[in-house]
Parts: sequence; structure tokens; C-alpha cells
Amino acid sequence: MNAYRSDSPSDPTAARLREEVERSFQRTVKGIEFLTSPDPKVGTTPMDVLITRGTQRLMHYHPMASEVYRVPLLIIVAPSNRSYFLDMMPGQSLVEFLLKRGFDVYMLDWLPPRVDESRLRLDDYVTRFIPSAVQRVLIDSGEPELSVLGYCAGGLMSACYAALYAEGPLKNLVCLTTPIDFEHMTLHRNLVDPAYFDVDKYIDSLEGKLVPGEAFFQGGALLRPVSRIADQIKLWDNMWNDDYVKQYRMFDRWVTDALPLPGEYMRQFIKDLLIGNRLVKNELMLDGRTVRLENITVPLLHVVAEHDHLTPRGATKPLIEMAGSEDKGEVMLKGGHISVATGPKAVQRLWPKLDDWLGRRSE
Amino acid sequence: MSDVPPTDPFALSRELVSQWERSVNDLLTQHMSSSEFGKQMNAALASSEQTMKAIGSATAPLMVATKEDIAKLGKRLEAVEGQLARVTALLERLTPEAEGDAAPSRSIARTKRFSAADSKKS
Repeated sequence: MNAYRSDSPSDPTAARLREEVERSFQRTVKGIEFLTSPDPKVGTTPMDVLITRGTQRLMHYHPMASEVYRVPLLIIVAPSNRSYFLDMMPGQSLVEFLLKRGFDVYMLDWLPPRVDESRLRLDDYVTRFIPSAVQRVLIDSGEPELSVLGYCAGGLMSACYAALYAEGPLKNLVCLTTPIDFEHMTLHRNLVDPAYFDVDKYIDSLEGKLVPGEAFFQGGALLRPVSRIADQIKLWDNMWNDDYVKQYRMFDRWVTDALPLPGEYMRQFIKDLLIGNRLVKNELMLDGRTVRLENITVPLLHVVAEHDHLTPRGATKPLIEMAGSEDKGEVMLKGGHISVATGPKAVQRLWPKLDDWLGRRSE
Repeated sequence: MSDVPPTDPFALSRELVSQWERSVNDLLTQHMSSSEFGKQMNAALASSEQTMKAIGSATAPLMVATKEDIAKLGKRLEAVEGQLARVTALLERLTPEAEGDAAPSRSIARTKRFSAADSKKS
């Protein structure tokens, strides 16, 4: 009997079986490669560092277009995350995409805070770090105004900045998956319920009063309790697929690479936002001033994810409702909290939308 | 509905993993939404902390590293990583290739106009 006869197109089951056997063999070979090779390089888009001051870092990416839009763009990420998730690798980098589309891109991101920065509060991020980065962008670009794009807690800080500095120089604001109404962040609130959790005792007991990045990662993992296991199964199943493995490694590295947070920032975040829900009540005080989202008057776009497990729909909804901008809109895209911003789906869904919305307002 | 062919056992097994992930995640997150969960979770954490302290006292004479010691080392490592990132950032500013490639931001032509047709192509 001819062993290859079963390979004919008329015998799909045998062909499928053969494909699985081949994949199984490749899994073993590539599994060894996976365990022995170093992490893929990320965040490789050429840039200059304009500011490094403690935890604060401002970067300017080298333009990739012969001419750029007049208005520079400042991206602000959450203090808990490394910024390279927006610059994973060529072809899958939001930063690179925006540069090629003619934007002059700056990024405000965060280095691990030092022990002497454990007393930093949300006030410091919104009324010190963002304004100083904004001033530097204006000086560097020679322009009188700029656009800001904030992701998650970076979006929250950007919205607070826009509300407190309504007189300018902000021209456009884009927020991605930004929590505003913390009443809807049920699991987070349960974990820090004052009836069972003493936030002061927790923060004061921390070494150096810095919340370890591990705590943030575990908190996120808790929201999808079995996904880590399922991800491992899927990884093994796709071990033959180089693209899948590369993606997995980059995202896994980023998800587990959370930054430590200043204890005071976390204390304030839990008390004022998660428990007190003060932002949505117009009661959040930063540097002695009340943050009123109605004071946001610049063109505003809020991009939310349909399957966001970290910031549910109810938490993101009030931003557009409360902002005072005449030119404002919300776009809900398919995807989760991370995949809406970066990854193969974001390339098709979010990025062209950003290009279109910002491009029209950046001349 | 799933579009998995009913005759493909490999595809079916993958679909089963996805379904299991979805349903167990939904079930557990539903449970975690109750206030009772917060109570249980914090009680479990407190109890775990007590147990670790007891184990720490019991194993102290053995001179083995405790979880606390490892956590302290982790902290030191994080601090070292932070310093390293700052040094790297400073070095990146000093390297000749960074300076050579960098176009002064003010010298870029800020003349790009928005084109709807061009945007649709992206």
C-alpha cells in the first residue's frame, strides 16, 4: 500500500492528521528554541530622551516622514506599565505607524520610581510631570500647542490635566480605555473594600513604600483567572507558528513586566478613586484644585474596547458625557483592554481611526 | 455559534479550550463581583501572611532564605534595574548614532496637510 496515497486532496482527514503530526514535531523543536532563546527586542524605534528626572522620562521619536503635521503629539502611558507595548516591533508599533503617517511623536513614560519617590501622588503626575513634559515638547517643536493621547491611567491623568489646564496649550485629547466612574470597577473595589482591607496598613508595611509591580500584575490576572493557563495551552498548540510565538513572547513579557508604583499614589488612587469615586462626583482635588471634567473643551476622542475586562463599559462611559467639548466622540472597537491599542487587530481597527481623527485636527 | 467543522477533532479541541476559558472566567468573575469575595480574599491573604510569618520563625535557625528575603532581593533588583534604565537612557543620549540620526524637531517641515483619501489607505 502506498503510504502517500492518504495525502491526496480527496482524503482531508488524513491530510489534517499529517498536518497535525508535522506541527507536533515542529512544536518540540521550536519549544526547545523558545526555552533557550532570549526575549525579543522591543521598543526599537529611534528616539532621543529629552527628560529623565527620577521616574519621569520624555522621549522624542525621530520623524519618519518628509513633512509632519504642525501639531506635535504627546503620548502618555500609565505609571504601572512599560511604554514599549506601543512600540513592540517594526510593523506592530503604534509609534512607528504614527511617525510614518506624518505625526511628530513624543512619549511621556515612567521608569521604576526610586525609594525617595514613594511619596509621589497623582497630583505630582498631573500638575508637575505632565506640564513639564508639555512645556518641553512645545520648546522642542517650536509650536504653541499640542495633542495628547493617553492610555488607561495615562488617559485618566491626561483627562485631569485637560480639565485643570483648560486655558491651553492642549489642542486635542485622545483617551484610550480610560476609567472615570470607579463604581463599575467591581472586582478592584471588592479587593480594597475598607471593611476588609486596610490600605494604610498595607502601604505602610511595604518595603520602601513602593507597591511592587508583581501586585499589579497579579491583580490584573485575577480578572481573568484561568486565562494564564489557557494561554499556555494555546502557546503549546501554536508553538509551530513563529509569528504567534513572537507575539506571545512580546505580550507576555509586557504583561508580566509591570512597574512598581509609589505608595502614596496607590493610597490616593484607592481612597479617592476606587473607593471615594471622586472624579465622577467632581470632588477630586489635585494640588488644591478640583478636577471638573466639564472644563475639558478641546476636541476629544475616547476609544473604548468592547471586551475590556480591566475598565468595563460603565467605568469609561462618563468621560464623553461629562466633558464640555463641542467636538467630542466615542468609538467602541472590538477587542480587549490591551488588544484594542496594540497587536494585529489594532493595526486594522484603531490605528487608521487615530490617523484620521488626529490628522484632521493637527494641521 | 462556532464555525469549527464538526469532523475536525483538533479544531474541536481548540474550540473546547476557548469555551472552557470563557465559561470559567465568567463564572469566577461573577463570584468575585460579590462583596463576600473581598472578605474571603482579604481573610485568605491575612491568613497566608500569618502562616508565612510562622514558617519564617520556625525555619530561622536553618539559615535558609525566606520569601521575605527573596522579596527584599527582588526590590533591590528592581532598584538596580531602574538605575540601569536611567544609565541606558543617558547613554542613548550620548551615542553618536543617536545624535547623527536625530533631526532637530524645529527643522522638520511642519507643512503636512490632511488628506482623507490618503488616510483611508493607511
